[in-house]
Amino acid sequence: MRRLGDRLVRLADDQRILTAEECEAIARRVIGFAQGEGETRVELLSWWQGELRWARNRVSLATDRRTVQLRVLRGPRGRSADMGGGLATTNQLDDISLESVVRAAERNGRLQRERSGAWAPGLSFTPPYPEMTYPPTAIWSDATYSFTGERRGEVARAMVEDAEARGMLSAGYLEARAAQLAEYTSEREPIVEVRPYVKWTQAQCSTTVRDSRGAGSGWAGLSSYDWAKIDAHALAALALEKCKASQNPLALEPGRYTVILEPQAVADLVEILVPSFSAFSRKAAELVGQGPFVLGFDDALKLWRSKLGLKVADERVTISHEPVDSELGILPTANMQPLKWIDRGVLTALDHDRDYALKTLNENAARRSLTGYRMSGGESSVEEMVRTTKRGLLVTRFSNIRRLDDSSLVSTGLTRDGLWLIENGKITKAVKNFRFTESPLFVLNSIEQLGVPVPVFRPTRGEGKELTPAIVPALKVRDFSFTSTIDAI
Amino acid sequence: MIVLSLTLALAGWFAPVAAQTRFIWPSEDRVDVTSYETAEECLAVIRRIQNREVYRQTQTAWLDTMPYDRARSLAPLPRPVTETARACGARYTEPGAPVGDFAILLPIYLAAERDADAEKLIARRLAAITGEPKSALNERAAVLDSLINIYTVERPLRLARLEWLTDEYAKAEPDRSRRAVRYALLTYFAYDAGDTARARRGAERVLAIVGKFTPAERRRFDAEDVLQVMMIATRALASEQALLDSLRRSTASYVALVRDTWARGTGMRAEAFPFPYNETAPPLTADFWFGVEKPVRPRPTPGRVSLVVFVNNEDECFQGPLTEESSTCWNQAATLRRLAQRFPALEITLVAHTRGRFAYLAPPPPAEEAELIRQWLLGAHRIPAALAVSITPSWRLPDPDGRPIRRDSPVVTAYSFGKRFNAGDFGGAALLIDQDG
Repeated sequence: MRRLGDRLVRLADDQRILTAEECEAIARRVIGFAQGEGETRVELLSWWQGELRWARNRVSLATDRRTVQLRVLRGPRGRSADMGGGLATTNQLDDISLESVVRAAERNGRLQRERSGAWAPGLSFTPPYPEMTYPPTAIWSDATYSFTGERRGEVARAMVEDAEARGMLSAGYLEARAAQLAEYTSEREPIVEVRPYVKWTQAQCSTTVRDSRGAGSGWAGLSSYDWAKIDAHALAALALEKCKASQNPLALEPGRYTVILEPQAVADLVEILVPSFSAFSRKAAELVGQGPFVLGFDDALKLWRSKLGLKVADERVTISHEPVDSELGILPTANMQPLKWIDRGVLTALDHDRDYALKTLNENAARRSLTGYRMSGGESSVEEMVRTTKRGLLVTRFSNIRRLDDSSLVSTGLTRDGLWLIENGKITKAVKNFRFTESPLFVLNSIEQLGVPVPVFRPTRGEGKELTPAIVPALKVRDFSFTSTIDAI
Repeated sequence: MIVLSLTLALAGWFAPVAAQTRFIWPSEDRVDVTSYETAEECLAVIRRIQNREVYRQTQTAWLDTMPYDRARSLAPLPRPVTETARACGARYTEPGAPVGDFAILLPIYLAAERDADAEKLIARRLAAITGEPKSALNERAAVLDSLINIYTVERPLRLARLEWLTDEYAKAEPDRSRRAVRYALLTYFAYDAGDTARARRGAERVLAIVGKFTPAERRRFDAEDVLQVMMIATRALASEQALLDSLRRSTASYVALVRDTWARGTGMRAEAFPFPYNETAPPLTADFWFGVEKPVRPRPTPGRVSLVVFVNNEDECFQGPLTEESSTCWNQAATLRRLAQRFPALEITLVAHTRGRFAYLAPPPPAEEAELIRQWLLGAHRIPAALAVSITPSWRLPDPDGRPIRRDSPVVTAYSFGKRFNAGDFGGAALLIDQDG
C-alpha cells in the first residue's frame, strides 16, 4: 500500500500487514470524516495467512490470503455497539470507503439508539474511565513472516520424500500467519492509541503417515510463533517412525489402564478443562451454581460458593499463564496480569468478565483466559516412564473429544495415531485404538509421574484470531478408563 | 477478503479498479410498505416507526423527566405511525382476514384507528371457538387473556373495551387469583388515565374477588402480588380526594384509611400492613454529607415536612433516559426538581451508599466515590437536596474468592423498622415525613 487516494487500495505483495505508521494515518483519516458529537473508535486488523496442505504424498491446497478489517464505532463516549454506539466494518481503505463506513456507523448508531432508547445529550458529567495498559509482547518472528509459498513447497516436499520412498502415504499441513491489531480513539486530541499497535506471527506444522494398507498410522506436529523453532524434518521422521511401529495392532480388552500420555495427548485432555476457567465459569458457579467448580449454596451468606481455594488436582500441577512468557507467546489483553488458575493443585483463580469484576468483586479489570497456558511438570522423560511401567499403554494423542457432563467434565473420545502396550518396562506391541471415557479432573488427580513441559501443536482458532499456545508435560496416569475398542487406525 | 492463489499471483494480475460508488441510504421519511409481504412484517415496520417517533421526541424532551401526563395514554398515535398502519394494513379487510392471525392483525387495526374492524375480528375469533364446553371455556379465557394484553399495550388506551374484555375474561376464567390480577390491571390503567369511575369499579371487583379467597388461595397468591394488587385497589377506592382529606386531618387518619382498606381487601390484620406508615422517622446518619451547612444539623429536621429518598444509583442511571416505562434515577431526579420548585419549604434528603465502584471505575476510595455520587446527583442532575452518603459496611471472603459480603448500613438498619420493611434494597423508595417526624 503506497498511498490513500480515490482508488482501490491493496497491500503490496511484500507488505502483507499494515505498519504502525499506516494504521495511525488511516485512523486519522477515519476520525476526520466523523460528523457530529461523540467518540470515534477505529480498530484496524490486517492479517496474512499462507498454508499448504498435502495428502497421499501430493499437494492438494496451497493458498496465500490476506485482508484488512477496519471497524468503526461512532457514538456516545464509551458506548459499545449494543448501547447506543454504531458499528460498521469495511475492508477497503480508499477515501470513499472510509467515509462510507463512518457514515454507516453513524447511521447504525442512530438506529441502535432508536431501538434501545435515547442517551443523554448535553449531560455535564461523564463518569471517569480506568486506565488500560497492555503488557509488552515479543511474539513476532521474521522466520515465520518469510515462510513464503515457495519455501512451504520445499518443506512439504522434503517431509513427503522419506515416507514416499518407503511406500507410505503422507498427509500434512503447513501454515504461517501474521497479523497486527491497533485501536484508536478520538476521545482526546489529537488521537489516542487505545490499544498499542501489536503484531504477531504463528506457524504450525503437522503430518500424518499411514501405510498404504491402512494398518498403521503415526502423527507428529508442533505450533509456535517462530517457525525457526519447528523442525519439520524431525516431525516427519517421528511420524514415519510411529507409523511403522503402529502397524498390525492387536486388540486389547478395554478397561482401566496405567497410561503414559505424550504431551499432545495431555494437551488434548486439558483442552476440555481450560474453558472451565473462563469468565462464564465463575459466573455460572457463583451466580447459578453450575459447572465443575461449584461447591454448594451457603445458607448463612445466601450465595453460591465455588471451589476457589480448594484442592482440585495433584499438588504437582500448576496451570498458569504469563503475559510476557516468551516461550509461551500469547497475545495479552488489556490490564492482563500473570495468572495461576491451578497452583500446586489448588484452584486459585477463575476468569471473570469486566461486568462481574466491577459489580461483584469491585475490581477494575476483567480476567480472560483462552489465550494459552503453561502446565507445570517434572523431570521424568517418556522413556523413564516406560521403563518404570509394569503394564500400561503409551498414547500419542486423542481426537473427537466430546464433553458428556458439565459438572464432572467426563468426556469421551478416541486414541489415535499410535497406541502401544507396555509390559515390564518395554514397549511390546501396537494396540488397536480405544474409546475413552474420562474426566481431565480425574486424570489430574491420578498422576504418577510428570515429564518436562514442552510446546505442543495447537490448532488455530480462526483467521486473524489470537494465539492459543500450550506448554504441557507428558504424564503417567493410573486407572485411565477405556470403554471400548474401535477399528479406526 | 481477497483470495490470491499462487497461480494468479504468478500470472501477475493487478488490474486497476475505478473509485467506489457511494452507497445511498433509503429515505426514512416515507416508508415503502409494498416491500413488506406478511402481517408480521407490517407490524414490525409499525413498531419501528413508533420507536422512531419516540426517539425523535427524546431528542428535544426527555420523556422520563416530564411531569406525568395522565392524558398521554389516551392521546392518539403520531400521524406517521397511523399512516404507516393504514397503508400496510389496507390489504387486510374484515371479514376476510385470517382469524388465526388475530394477535398480529389486531394491533395493526388499532394502530390504523380501525376500531370497527378490530371489533369484527374479535367477534369472529371468539365465535371460532368450538369443542367441548370445558375446553371451549379454557380456550375462550386464553383468547381473552391475549386480547387484554393487546389492549393494555396498544395506544391510545380503549378503556371501555378493556373493561368489557376483563368482564368477559372473569366469566371464563375459573382461577380467582388470575381474575383479581386482571381487574387490578384494569384498575391501574383506568386510574392512571384519570378515569376514576372505571378505576373504582375495577377496585371494587378486585376486593370482591380477593375477599372470597380461601386460605389456600391466599397462600398461592404470592404475597408481593397481593400487595401490589391491593395498593392499586386501595388507591382507586379511597380516591385521591379522600386520601388528601384524611391527610389534611392528620397522618394518623390517613394511615388508618389506607390500612383499613388494605385489611378489608387482604383479610389480614391492619397491624400487618407492610409499610412503616405512622412510624417515627429515625435521624439520618451518614459518613459524608453534601449540600448542607457544617456542622450538620439532624435530619429530618423537626417541624419541617421532609422527603427522604433512598437513591438507587445503579448502573442503569448512566445509560440515559429510557422509554416511558423507565423507573431509573432520571425520572426520579426530574420529579424531585419539580417538587422542590413547587414546594420550596419541602426538605429533601437523598440517601446513597457506596458500592465499591462508580460506573466503569473500581474501586474508588469511599470519599472519592461519595464525591462522584455528589457530582452525578447534585451536579449533573441538579437535584436541590442534601446528600447523605454512607459507606456500605462489608467484609471480603478469604482469597482467592474475595467477594465482598455487604451488610446494611446503620441508616438502612434504622429505616428497616425492625425488619418489617425491606430497607436494604430500596430501589429508589421515598418516604414522606410530616412535621411531627
